[in-house]
Amino acid sequence: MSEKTVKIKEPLVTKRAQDLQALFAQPASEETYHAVEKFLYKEARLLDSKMFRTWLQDVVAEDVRYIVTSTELRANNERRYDLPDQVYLFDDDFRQLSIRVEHDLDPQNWRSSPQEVYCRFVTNIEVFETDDPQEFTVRSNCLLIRSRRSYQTDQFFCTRVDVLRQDAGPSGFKLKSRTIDYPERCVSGHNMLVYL
Amino acid sequence: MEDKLINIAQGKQRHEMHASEAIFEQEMDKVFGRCWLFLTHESLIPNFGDYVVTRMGTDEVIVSRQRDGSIKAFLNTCRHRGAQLCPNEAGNARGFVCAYHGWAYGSNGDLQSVPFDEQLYDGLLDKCKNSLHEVAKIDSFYGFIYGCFDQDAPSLSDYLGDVKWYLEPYMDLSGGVELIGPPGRCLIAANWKTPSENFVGDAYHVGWTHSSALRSGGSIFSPLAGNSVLPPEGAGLQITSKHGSGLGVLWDAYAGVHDGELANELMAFGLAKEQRLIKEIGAERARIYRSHLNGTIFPNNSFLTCSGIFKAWQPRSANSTEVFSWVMVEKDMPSDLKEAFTKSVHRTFGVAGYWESDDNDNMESETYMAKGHQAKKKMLNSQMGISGDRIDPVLPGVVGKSAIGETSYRGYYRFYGDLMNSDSWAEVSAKGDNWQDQLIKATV
Repeated sequence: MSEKTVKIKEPLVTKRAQDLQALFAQPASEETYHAVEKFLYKEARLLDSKMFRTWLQDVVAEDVRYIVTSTELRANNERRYDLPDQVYLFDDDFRQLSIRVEHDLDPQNWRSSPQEVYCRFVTNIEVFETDDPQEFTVRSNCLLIRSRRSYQTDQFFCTRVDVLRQDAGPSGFKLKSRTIDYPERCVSGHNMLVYL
Repeated sequence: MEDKLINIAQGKQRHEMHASEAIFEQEMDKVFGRCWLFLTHESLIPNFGDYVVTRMGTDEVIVSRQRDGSIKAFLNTCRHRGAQLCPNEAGNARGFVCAYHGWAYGSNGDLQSVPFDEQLYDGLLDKCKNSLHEVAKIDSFYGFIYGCFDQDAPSLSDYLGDVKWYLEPYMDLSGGVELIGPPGRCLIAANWKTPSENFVGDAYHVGWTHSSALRSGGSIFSPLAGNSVLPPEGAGLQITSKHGSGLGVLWDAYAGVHDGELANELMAFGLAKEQRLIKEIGAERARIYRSHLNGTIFPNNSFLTCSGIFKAWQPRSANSTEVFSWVMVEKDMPSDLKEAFTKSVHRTFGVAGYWESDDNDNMESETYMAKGHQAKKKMLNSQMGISGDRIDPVLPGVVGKSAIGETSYRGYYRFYGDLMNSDSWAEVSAKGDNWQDQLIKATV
């Protein structure tokens, strides 16, 4: 046997996941959990029904930040190459989300006719308290299946980390931020013209 | 069936070229095996040992910065049993070790060590003969690095030819550009030529295909929404070159596809720099700096200059293409504007880009329909402006009649046809001797 020793360095890429763990320390009450669950199902229904304007009005906060990143594949022990490893597929505020919604609903959006059909599954919901008693961190998984024209079926899947703020409006909360690091590096579903 | 795949004299192509696996296999030899292919930008591998893994046709390659600052590229396969050597997209490494048996290569491609080679190979393994397979030629222009598998290819500078004059003001004389990574990546069900031909010279589709994006996004192009107006004669140019690369120019359209809020800031930045450049490079080329260029470097590398979009359409099969989307931005743009610009590029033309998705739909349907047994035999039409192509005393290349025309389609497929019908670069070059006449004489 060779006597060479192999140094195992601590992987750096796990750091991001470890940072997130601090957000998941203090579970919220059962009452809050159920209110959040109802909120997420309502949001899922509005999005699957393509009621995007209602989604913006009833679910999305005016100061929202909606982020989907894609992370470049690097070696676990990469230490010297320090250029950014994330690309922002979405980094949208309310105005920019509104542009997307109007683009989709425009009568001359040729790709939206015939309509795409969505069916999404929101699971693994966990709700945590934050420093602000009005706000909660919510972790959930989302599987979205899109059916398009006659033969195309696309799957999108992700973990979402949201911040919800209690709200007097019809949904009980507003979405203050949503952060997704998209798991599939090369997106197989043609495009990500969907809200996850 | 018309016998030719490409009919240069009439500006037509057989639809089958978008779906045939047999044609695709030939393209991997005759197009991707011969042409200069985009690899990366110097800004993404600045230091010794920096590397990216990218694609040349259907091959994966490692592109690696050497100790002396030069750049080499190698097939990403171990010389032993052909396993993938580097599974990462980018990094910094002194070398690459195969995960299968541990064969280790330096960043210069040399096979440096083989586990237990003395005991197991009885001295019969010559490491010098087992370096990584190296890409024959590497060169760059303005920091953009290209590779070529064919030793007989013309220099990168000659290959780019007439399009360089148009690219220089934005990519070099502006103070230079950089690419911002990592790229967005997605897979579309389209032949690689469908987006390449669209970017090379299709200003015609903008008002109609992007009707909803124009209306909702509020860019400087918004008045075109729904084909409600045609850009006036003299709104721009369209040109093509000997080796198929081509581009369109829309005068003074510096803010490109970006939405109304960002457009004002961008227009102010571009105008200020144009004023400075007028003194340095003259009014004509300073105007080209601030004008919007859409183009494709033949075969599969496209860009929109001022919009900041930089693409590689990487072929996977006749009907599958992986899209790589980087941001191209002027180095001296203020950092907050650069950041807003970068995010806007992905918002418009990235994986979740609301402009990009309009286009991909067309490209996928062109590809899908090309599988039809009857449809594939039919000829496609790229005849717009066909009798107006000309030589200009000032503007290099073959110049079309208007910004909206199909001159660059015709130039792109003229060269594609020469490649597909030739057995060597010598033959390709001979066929292209009178390339300008071939295009100018074309008629319906």
